[in-house]
Amino acid sequence: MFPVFRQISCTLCKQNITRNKRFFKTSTSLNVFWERDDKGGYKDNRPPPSFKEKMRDGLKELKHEIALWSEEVKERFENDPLLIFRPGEVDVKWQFGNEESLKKWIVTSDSDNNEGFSKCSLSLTNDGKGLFSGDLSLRVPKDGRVKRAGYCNMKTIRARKSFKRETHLDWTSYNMLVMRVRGDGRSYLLNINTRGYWDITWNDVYHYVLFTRGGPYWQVAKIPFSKFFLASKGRVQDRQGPIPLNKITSFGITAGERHAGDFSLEIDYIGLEFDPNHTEEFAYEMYKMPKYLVAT
Amino acid sequence: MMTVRLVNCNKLLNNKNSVKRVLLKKLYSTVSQPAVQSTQESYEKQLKDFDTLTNITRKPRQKKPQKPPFAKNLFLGIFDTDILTYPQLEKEDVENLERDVNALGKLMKQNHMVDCDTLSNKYFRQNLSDYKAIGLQASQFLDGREYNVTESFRFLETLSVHNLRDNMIYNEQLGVQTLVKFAKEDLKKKYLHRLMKGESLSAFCMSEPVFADFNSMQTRASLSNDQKTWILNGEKTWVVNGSSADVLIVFAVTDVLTKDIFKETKLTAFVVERDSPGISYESIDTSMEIANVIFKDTPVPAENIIGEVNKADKILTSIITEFRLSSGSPCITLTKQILNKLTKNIIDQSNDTNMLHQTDAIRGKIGEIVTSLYAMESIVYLTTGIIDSYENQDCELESAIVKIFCSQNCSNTSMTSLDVIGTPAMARNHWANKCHEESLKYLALHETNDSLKMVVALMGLQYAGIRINDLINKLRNPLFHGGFILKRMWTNRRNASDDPKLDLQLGDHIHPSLYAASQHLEYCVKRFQFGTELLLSRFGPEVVNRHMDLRRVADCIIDIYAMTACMGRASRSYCIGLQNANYEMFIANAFCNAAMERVKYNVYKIYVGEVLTNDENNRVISKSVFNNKGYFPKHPLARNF
Repeated sequence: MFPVFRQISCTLCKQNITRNKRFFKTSTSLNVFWERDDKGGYKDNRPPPSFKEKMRDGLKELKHEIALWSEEVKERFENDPLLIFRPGEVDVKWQFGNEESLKKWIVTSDSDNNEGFSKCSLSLTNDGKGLFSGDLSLRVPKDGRVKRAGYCNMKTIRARKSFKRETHLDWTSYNMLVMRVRGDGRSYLLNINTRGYWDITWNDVYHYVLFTRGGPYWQVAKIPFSKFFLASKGRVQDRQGPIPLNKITSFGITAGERHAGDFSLEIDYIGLEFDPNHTEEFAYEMYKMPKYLVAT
Repeated sequence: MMTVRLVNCNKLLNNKNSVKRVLLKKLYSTVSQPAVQSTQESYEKQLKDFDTLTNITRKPRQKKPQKPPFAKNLFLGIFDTDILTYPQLEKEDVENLERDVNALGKLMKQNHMVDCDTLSNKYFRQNLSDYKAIGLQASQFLDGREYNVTESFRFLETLSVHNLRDNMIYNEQLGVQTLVKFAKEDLKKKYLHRLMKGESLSAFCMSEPVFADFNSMQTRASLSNDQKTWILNGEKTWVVNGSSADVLIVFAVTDVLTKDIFKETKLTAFVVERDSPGISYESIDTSMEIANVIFKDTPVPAENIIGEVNKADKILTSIITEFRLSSGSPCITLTKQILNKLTKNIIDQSNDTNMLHQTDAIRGKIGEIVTSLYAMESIVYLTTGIIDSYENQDCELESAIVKIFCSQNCSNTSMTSLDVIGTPAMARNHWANKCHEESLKYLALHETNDSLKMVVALMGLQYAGIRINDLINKLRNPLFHGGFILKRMWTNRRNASDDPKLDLQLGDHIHPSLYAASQHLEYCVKRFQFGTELLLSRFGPEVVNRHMDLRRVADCIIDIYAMTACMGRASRSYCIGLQNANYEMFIANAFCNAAMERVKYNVYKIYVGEVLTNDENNRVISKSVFNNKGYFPKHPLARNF
């Protein structure tokens, strides 16, 4: 019995191989079951530090981490959650003002991976606001591999607890994202990463567009979380759903318009608000699709 | 370009080769001498005809098969979820329509149009005709627009900007429409074309001094001995445009069928020319040109009959249904005008020390006005959409609802504006005062809202009564159907405790964010069905005389229909991402909240019956008033000892 099975599976495999050989694939193959790499092939290829270096750096951080840990323990015993949401009040989550605040952000662009020529930076203005600016270039490097180019991105570092343990931000008590910004008329993409444990959720990002005015005045953009839609690796997903607000890993802003040139977005703060009048959970229709047709 | 057009013409009119030759000669003539004036005119006319013919576009209007009437089915608790899909026009149609409406809007703003204060002004009518604003639904071969109901209502909305809105709508919806829909070809050529060109004006003669229903009509017409003319006798009152109309459409009794004690009158519609002998006019109101028209032995040629002899009741029901519906358009425009003027007024009055527009007092009122205006728009275009999408759809109940709802909300809005503006509005020529006067017209002219409410309730109850006859029979004879009654007490227990089971799943047919509103609607539908069954089983056929309850029934169905319209529209706007659609969601939610409260209250009043409501008290008091022929209590200062 058993050898028969093996034979069948062998023939099946062979058939598979031959079938694949017959076609010349133009796209990357889809690994349905697992992602090899949580950075999608953009992993840091510098050699890891040696054991000695690791020990030295780790011990240096120990004092700080223990302080953080003791805070956490205290907080746990105090157990004083925010029960009353104050409607109409903005809780500022990210603000600029000093060099230290810039360290919470990671700024990348396509030129970092030799996939384009855009340049960008996050800096402080004279008034202590954050300025995300740079030059968006649509020029495609002639390496025969990259087809489109032109993005600049800023993203917060992953939320974490003491001893470098990763955690999630919990925004369940809010329903609006509030940003005080001063733009240049371009539109920017807001990204809320909700990376989960399993590999299929590694690239879950909720998007919405931030439309800016080009004027000299500050604008306050209030965007309900219900408006954010799910995409993975930039592809809008067929099976949508409201954003899991207790599983936020990071927040980012992308300049990726299809118009090349300079851009600048001045940010005063990024905060959250609870608006009791907004009851909507998810702004888009969720059609019931037949099984195994989408998002299987 | 011209040749292309000519080729087109040629294709259309193969038999007019001669004309083509003439045209070619004229257009490409090398002769320097001008053509003779008279022939030039005829050429121009031919050219115009050609222009008309080349501009004819085929309008394929596929209608879906007839559906059971939506609003009437609500009386049975049946909700057709297709109606939640708000109807829309094709993209191309909408673009053409908006273009034409904008052109007309510009015309209506010109001074010579605004200043005109009577529809008897021929130039005014001809200006309208140049924009093809008369005879909107007439065939393109008659130089009409061949619009469907939705498109023509959009046009009426624009026409309603003008002060003569009622005269225009009466002419269009009653006079022209009757001819468009029911007249024979030769009548159309003779009268309709002139009406559409603005050369003549129509008036619809239906009301009479004593006019309860069609059966009590007094105007008679009898065939003369030579069978070629009909002789008209009688009086028609409240004829809008009566003082200046050239073409009168008159309804008269031509036959009376008697069956036992029942009399059934047969009506016929005639086209009567103004200068026929034996017609006299009595002007009642100059602003709307209302007149009484008296016919004394007026001869009408037999070919002037619209439709068939003795079949005019069909004409009346169809025309009146659409006419009721058409009062929605001017109400929308008027309310919009009031709201916009009020907004401007409030902004002008606000200053740094007194931010009037930020006060709660103003916000509350403006919010209510916008909500009701939104509901008016939704309900009108939902109904026209239903008429346009389904073949021969029964919308008489819906049309009556539109009339009641729109006129009521329009007058409510104007009341609010009077309230907000205060003393200045008392001036005779203040816009708020004028608008208020205008809005009152829709409440009372031809049909009062209250009587129409009775009609709405009765139409629905009649429809429901026939279909649930068995059920009502059992409920009214409980002792013969003990088992059934007990079973029903069990199945109906949640309804009796005002907690109906919501199993219609209306939320599946609209945007999920309107789920709460859909639950409200479902609750109302269920409760309304409960109320209907309760009324029918409690009073049986006697229900036709329970006017106070009928009023409540009508209020409920109006609210339910308006909720459906608002929700469907908001859901559509939000799904396709129209500008400000998120506020539409607020409006729809607000309307559904308020409407749900009203329906709840009304059904509760029906449920508790006359004991716990004021109905019986009102009956007693009113009885005493009529016994005493007036107000009967003694003066508060009177004493008798």
